[in-house]
Amino acid sequence: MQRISGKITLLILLCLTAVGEGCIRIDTPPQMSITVLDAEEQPVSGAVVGLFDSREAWSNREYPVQVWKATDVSGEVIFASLKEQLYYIYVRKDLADNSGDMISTTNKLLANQRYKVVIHIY
Amino acid sequence: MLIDSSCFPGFLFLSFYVHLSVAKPLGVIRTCLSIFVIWLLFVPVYSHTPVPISRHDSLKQPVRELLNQYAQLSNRLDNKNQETQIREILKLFANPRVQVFNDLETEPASTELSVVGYFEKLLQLYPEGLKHSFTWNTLHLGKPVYDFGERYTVRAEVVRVLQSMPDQSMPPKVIKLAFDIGFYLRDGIPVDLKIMEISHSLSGDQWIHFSAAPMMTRFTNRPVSEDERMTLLWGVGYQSQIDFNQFFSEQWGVSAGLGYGSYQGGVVLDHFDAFLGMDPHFTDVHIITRLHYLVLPVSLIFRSSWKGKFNLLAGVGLSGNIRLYETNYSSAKSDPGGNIYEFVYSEYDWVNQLSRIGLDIHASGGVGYQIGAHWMISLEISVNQGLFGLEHQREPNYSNLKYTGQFNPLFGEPDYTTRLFGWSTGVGISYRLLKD
Repeated sequence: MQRISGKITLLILLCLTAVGEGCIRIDTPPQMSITVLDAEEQPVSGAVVGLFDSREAWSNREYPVQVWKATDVSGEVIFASLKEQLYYIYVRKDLADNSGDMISTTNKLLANQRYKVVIHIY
Repeated sequence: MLIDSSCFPGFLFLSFYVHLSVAKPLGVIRTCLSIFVIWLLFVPVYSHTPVPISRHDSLKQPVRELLNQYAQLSNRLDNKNQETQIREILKLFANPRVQVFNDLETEPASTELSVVGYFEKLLQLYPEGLKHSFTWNTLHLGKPVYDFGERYTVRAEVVRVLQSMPDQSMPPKVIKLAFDIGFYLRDGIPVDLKIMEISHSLSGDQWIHFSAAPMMTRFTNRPVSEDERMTLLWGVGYQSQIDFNQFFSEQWGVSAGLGYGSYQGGVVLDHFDAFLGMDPHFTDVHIITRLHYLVLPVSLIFRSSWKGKFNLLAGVGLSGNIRLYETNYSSAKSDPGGNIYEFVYSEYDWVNQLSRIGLDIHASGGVGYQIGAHWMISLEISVNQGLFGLEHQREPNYSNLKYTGQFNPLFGEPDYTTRLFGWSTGVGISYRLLKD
């Protein structure tokens, strides 16, 4: 009887291991929440935002690391699944852009973090 | 003409599999009908001759007398006049080669011996003999069926208790046995009853079953699959689950379980379009999604046992799926440049708003090999088809955005939800809970 109980316990443990595998959390890649404001500090909706991994790519507006995204009514856009690196940010709406404001993150992004960035366009 | 109903699970499984993998354009009903016709042509059928017994109970008494004789002769058995005694017992059997379930030894418990071999083994292990007795209130007779010539057969299931003589140390063995009994009819009365096989009764069996299988999976969405700019991708997933199987006859039972599934599927898009005038210049875009699910399957199950060792297994049922979490991966080629970029689209908000609860129909089949009385290993194949969608909220601006990479285009088609389809080949191990 003890032997049978042992076998059943082993079987249940095996199953729990398999089921429990689904509960193991992996590192979440860095995320960046970008809020776009105008000169009056008002949120800008519908501005297109792109991320680049080099100054040169940022200057040429070529090879963004992800597709261009648009800000919502609160002027915010979120980029997920980023890498642990520096990013250059370009924002544009109509003729205004962020050439005169901060264009890159100050440090490398880290996993399991969501960074908040505020950018002004003129 | 009556068709052997035991072939139905195989038929259902075959129909379902062919429909999903080969003959989808035909439609499921037409496919089933086509295969049903083929099955009628090729699967053996037999003429059914009704057994002319007015009352089913009229068999019970003769069967009980036969089993009583079997018990009495077995109880008289000892080493003193072995050959004569075995010869007497053999008169109750159709022939000396009739197979008898051997539970005299602990291992291997499920081996069958010829009737002569069985009683020789009994005297070898227990020279003083063993006491056989039946618990008559457990006697159950199956439906008598026509065999051949003028003979009919019936299966009698009854609990038998095997006890050693006072000076022997074997603990009592209680087990439900199935006696296959042949008989003839004379003026509607069963005569000349002979035992044709004694096996371990499988009705009322309970099994704990664990299976693990790699799975080829795909998320299907008709508008996306018909979109010339997109191609659906297969992915490799897996599923493991534990089930409790309760048989209510030798062949049929029900099963319920709990499992964990990881399913992957994707879509390839030719290129991302410009978004608000900004062109990302990404081509050959691969978007892969992996969904991790809790699976709750319930099934009608079937088995057909051969020699108590080899089993044909089949099942069909429904599975509820509840998403635990999901991961996404994407890659694309820059144009011009040709560099490969990863995670080219991000879908943070859209994914979290989705409620992914699905219902699948599944069918499975396989072969099993029983090891001893408790264990069985099996090789199984199965198919899963989602009945309704994985997501219940949709991106409102889909038609404007589906090529721009703002969200996963597989899950955003208005009025069409995405469903899972998968097939797997894996192994299973079962543990039998004996309760005779």
